Amino acid sequence: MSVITIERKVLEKNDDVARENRATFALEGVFVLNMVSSPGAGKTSILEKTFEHLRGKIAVGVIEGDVQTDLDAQRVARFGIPAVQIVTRGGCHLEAGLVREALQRLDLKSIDLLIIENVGNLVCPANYDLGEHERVVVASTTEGDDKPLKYPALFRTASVMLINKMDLVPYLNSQPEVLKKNALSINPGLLVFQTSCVSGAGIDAWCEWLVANAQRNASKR
Amino acid sequence: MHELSVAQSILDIVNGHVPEDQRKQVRIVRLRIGSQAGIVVDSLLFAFEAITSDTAMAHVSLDVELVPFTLHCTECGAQTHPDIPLGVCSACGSRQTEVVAGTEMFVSELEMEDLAGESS
Repeated sequence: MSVITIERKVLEKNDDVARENRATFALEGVFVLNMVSSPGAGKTSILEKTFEHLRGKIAVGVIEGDVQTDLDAQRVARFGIPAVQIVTRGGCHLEAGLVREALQRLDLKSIDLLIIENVGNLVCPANYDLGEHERVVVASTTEGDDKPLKYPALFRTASVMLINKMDLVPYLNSQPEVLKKNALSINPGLLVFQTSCVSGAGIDAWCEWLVANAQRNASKR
Repeated sequence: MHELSVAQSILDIVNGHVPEDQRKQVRIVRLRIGSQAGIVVDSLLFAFEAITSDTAMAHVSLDVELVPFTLHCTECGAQTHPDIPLGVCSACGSRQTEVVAGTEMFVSELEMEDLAGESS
């Protein structure tokens, strides 16, 4: 028997394409988010609220990832925002190559902020860098405060967390402070926002953060 | 459930290293996978077997070295292996930590059978 040393990252191909995507974003001065959550945490609702708020402030584009249908792209297109739908047809996560293809259908020059809405899944998207600047995990108050401990990888690899559906807290046993504490025990560096798409609470602070980052990013071009 | 696409990535890397006429000689593909890499090893083995059956690589087995999650505290210097992959040092409680192992996913080595007449 002879042994051949390889020492290659299994997902190196994805990482290579993610690096290319990142270079493209830098060249065009686009600030890019990869939004991840379990199904139903409210990613698309947050996007709708975000677009209302950002109208006239910065130019936004969206890539929607779903297992089936272009319903989400239709929802966000109502805001007059360029939206590209990726249908994974069973695939449980987006990969950098799928995003690269989707970029062909977007005019990045006219976009300040690109939001990639990943497939609703708290496991697989953790492994796949898309080339984003920030990974935003959405956890909703209805999901249980121990979610970060049960699905640590996604909370560890995210840089921002939104605790959504804050308006439901009076009707639940949920304690957002416990959810936050659990998330910070996995990832002490997480930036946390608390939001409600019903009352609109917290959307201001979240959008201010987006605008500040998009502007800072554009100025580096 | 992304083990199938991970298995495909492993196969692509092996194929990239071994010319087609030598693939029958590959016996073992050694992997180094972090305990927190999000991989179910049994699912990965099943997926790899499924995509290599009826190919020149059908006889190849995967050998997985599981790497424990390891947190290094930059404040007290402790290296800990918490069961739940916390980012807070369990020795001193500091948040100034870095994950040094346990999330990786590498193809480390191939074991090839030597052809008759060749020395090993």
